[in-house]
Amino acid sequence: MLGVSLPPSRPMSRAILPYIPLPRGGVKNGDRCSRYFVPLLYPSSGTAVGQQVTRAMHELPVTESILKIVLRYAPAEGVKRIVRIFLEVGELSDLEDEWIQHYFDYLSKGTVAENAQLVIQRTPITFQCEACAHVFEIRREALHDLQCPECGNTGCNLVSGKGYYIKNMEVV
Amino acid sequence: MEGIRLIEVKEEIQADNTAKAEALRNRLRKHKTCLLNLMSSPGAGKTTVILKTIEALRNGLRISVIEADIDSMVDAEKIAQAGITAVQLRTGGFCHLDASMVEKGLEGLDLASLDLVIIENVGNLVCPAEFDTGAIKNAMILSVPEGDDKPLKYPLMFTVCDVLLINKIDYLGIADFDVHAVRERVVRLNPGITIFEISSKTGEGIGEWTQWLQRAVDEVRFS
Repeated sequence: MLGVSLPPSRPMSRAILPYIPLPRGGVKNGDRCSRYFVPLLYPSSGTAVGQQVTRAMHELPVTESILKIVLRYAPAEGVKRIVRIFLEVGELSDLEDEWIQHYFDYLSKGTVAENAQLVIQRTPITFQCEACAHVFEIRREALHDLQCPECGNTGCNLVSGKGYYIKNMEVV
Repeated sequence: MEGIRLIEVKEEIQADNTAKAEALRNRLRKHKTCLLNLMSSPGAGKTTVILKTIEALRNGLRISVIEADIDSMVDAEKIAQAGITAVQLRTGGFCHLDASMVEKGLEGLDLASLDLVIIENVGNLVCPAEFDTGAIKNAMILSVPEGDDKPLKYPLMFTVCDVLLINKIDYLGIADFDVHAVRERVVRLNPGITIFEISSKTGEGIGEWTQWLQRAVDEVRFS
């Protein structure tokens, strides 16, 4: 059952709803790109954004969220400048600390968070044994040999080790 | 240095997405629609598995698909050719889907008239594991030619899934792939996972997988 109306000139796409939201008014040079589109796909919308296109790499959504959250605190707390932001990142996360800082430097330009240093502490991976319920930490390098240190059972469920947490921040 | 003070933040960066994902799951259960998030590396066989799944279940279930790719409409067109409604999300460089993007995709579908929606996530073993899409079930495909060390290299992906489909088992004679080792590695990280060995080319094992999926859908439909 297709039931989707699209321009009749594209009969093969009868059942497809192409959905790419675009900002109202199109895109201009210097626009920061939101993650839903790349202006280069829409040459008819105006000038290409070129170098200023923010290519969405792995670390970008997390970095955007960090910035959004810390900037939310700025006005209420009378913050003039954010100096350091203390993060806890699970050891299971594959994102690169260095790149989170690179993207943060780029995104925070012009805000009170500009030049803030991200201090990232890796938090351990913990598993819980299915057999005896013992909760234990394990290093990432040891994951291939995962077993309960209490009873030796090899069937354990992940408790923590992914996720990103903003603990606190130093401000002026 | 001017007076530096410490401000407590204590916020999970993903809290927003997690809340949206939970809300989406509740909405789906209310509509009795099961949402399956299918993940894998590029080329492991997501689209083909979806087509085979549709073939097996379409007589009894009303199905739609949300396709996510960095670019192109290739996958959605394949689904459309099978006569199934497909929504194509072009992420433009974004390497995974999150709950708000899935919500946008669902806007184009009438949940009340659907039993099963399958999300074909972006081909990637890293980021999709980190972002809750709001799906009721998570599944991943590991194909034989990719190698049996993937559970060691990408542990997080294997821990977040309800099902692992080991695909392209027709390659087992040719590729260096120890199925037993994969099973053992995966079950250590995620004892609750269900593993199926399939070939989306020959159809072997598809029956067992689709029976599992039918049961998962029924659980939502008749809850």
